[in-house]
Amino acid sequence: MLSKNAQNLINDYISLPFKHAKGVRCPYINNARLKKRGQLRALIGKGTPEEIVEEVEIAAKQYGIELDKLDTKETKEFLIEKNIGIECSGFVIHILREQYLQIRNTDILKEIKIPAKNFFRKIINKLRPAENINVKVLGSDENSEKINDWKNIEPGDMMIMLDTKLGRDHIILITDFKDNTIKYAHARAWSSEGKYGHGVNTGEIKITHPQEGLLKQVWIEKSLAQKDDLFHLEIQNETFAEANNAKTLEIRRLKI
Amino acid sequence: MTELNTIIETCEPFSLELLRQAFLFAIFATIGAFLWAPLLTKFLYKYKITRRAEFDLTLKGDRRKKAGTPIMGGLLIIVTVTVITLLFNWHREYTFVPIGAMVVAALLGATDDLLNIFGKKRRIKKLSHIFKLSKIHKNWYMRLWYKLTIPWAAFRRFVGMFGSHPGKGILVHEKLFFQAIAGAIVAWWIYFKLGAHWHSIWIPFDGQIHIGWLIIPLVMLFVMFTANAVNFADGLDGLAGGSLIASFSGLALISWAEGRPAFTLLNATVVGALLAYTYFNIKPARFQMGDVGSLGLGALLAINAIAINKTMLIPILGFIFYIEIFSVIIQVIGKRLFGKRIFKMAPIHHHFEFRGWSEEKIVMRFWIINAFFVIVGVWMALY
Repeated sequence: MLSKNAQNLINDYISLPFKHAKGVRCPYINNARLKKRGQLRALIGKGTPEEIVEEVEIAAKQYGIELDKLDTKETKEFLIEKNIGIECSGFVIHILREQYLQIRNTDILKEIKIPAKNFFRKIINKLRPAENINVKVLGSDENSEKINDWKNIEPGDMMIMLDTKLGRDHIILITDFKDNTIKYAHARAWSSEGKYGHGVNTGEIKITHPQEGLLKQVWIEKSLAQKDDLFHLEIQNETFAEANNAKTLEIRRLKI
Repeated sequence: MTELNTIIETCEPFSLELLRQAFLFAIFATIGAFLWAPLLTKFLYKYKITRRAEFDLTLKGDRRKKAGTPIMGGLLIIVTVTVITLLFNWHREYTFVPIGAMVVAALLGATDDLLNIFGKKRRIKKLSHIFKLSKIHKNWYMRLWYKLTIPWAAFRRFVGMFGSHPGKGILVHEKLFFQAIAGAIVAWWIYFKLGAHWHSIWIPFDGQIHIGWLIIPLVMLFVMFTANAVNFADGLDGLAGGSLIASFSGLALISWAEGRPAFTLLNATVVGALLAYTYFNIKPARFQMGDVGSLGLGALLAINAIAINKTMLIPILGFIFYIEIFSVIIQVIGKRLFGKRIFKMAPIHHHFEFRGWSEEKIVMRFWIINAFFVIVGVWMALY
């Protein structure tokens, strides 16, 4: 199991700490698409749950929306309309930071080595590490080591998918491993979930064929889309599809 | 007039006659401004010089009801002060440059106000785009041009972060450029025209320190900084106007105490015009100051303090304006360097609005805070 604080943080992403509505799942945003630079962390998919909630409250005030009158679904839609959410690496970084603070008393944001093209980027990386750590940085040999045997998996390990079919990278955080079941959490958007369905989610991989690789196991993850939104009943597990299509699929552990 | 000229030539500190004249100027400015305020309002409505929700990014939510309020109400003060000073307090060596610089800053603000309403959206090239063009543009002279202008482009991008209406009106770097010109005129006047005494700077409780030509960048900095500080404070009904009344009253008092008649009367005139303006500007505002007033009066506040050699008192006499501008600077630093908000919103009056304070509460508390610091400033000036 992850540490209590790290687990609480995951829960906060799954149900953002709003006063007016419970169960608002933090949506997924991809800053590579939005191309915002030098912005607030919450607006580029790198914010903590508290920062995200604060930004929503400020945006609501600016746009004259009475947040108290919005229900869970409407609140989530407001977040998505205003491009407030979390991306996969931002989510993993914040959880791992909490985890390593708890178990090793180490701030991973100060330890992770971020490549810099020039002196200016070096300073930016020092000042805003969370915003400049992406999947490739976490998956580099400099920052993490590959776990070759899945039996050695530990909570806090990362499943890294590079160059998936969608032309992007993805990262999943392993939260638990026992009874031949790997539990994980990640921030993702499935195409079947439409505009408002996506967000932080959990899933598991049941090890049914111990001699085989991860892709031969049973991947279980529920869709977050409302039933009414679906036009077909059988939904493909897009996380598995993404893993399957990735040019590189590795389990890695931070070298900290 | 003859009597007035005599006062100006032979004025003693704490002159009762000067005090009488100062009150007369203030009364005259108030009545004058009151009389033509309806004309100004009619003019602004007629030409639709009003805040419009579709152009103004800040008019959302509760602030939407401010849409339709005329802007450029600051003309009431600028025109009143200019006319009264031209007619009754015109002295080439004293009031010429302050009024001139105020008008230059006000013209800049007026252009910005009008472009914000009637102008077209403008785009600034990204720095990365300039870098790219400097390498790949088909013409060698354009590549050279882009290379040479990279520092200016970097400056343009940097100061653009402080802009409130990105893409419309005068852009921040242009504003700073023209303000620097206004500041340079004042600095030239201070350094070359007012005499060697102004090559020293007054330090509270410590006398004078000779700084020579360094007074030039210092003056430019204070003029630009104060003009923009007042500009940032012009965000709530009555805030800038009411606070400026206290600031200019403080300056009038110090000028009177030091026996500087031209500045005593000029500051008293501004206070009078501000009283009339604030009467119409308190919530719900009949009109708003606009950049024409805030930039012009901000520049004048700095110049009038510099002209009586009280440069170091500007942040105290205009305390609330400096708090406003520093809140913006701190917010931008927090946002850009650390990705975090330091205040809920900036300028700081919006932070308190977010915390649930009513507009009236913020404005009145800011008035009181500013008035208190003006008292502190006047007390310091008397040492």
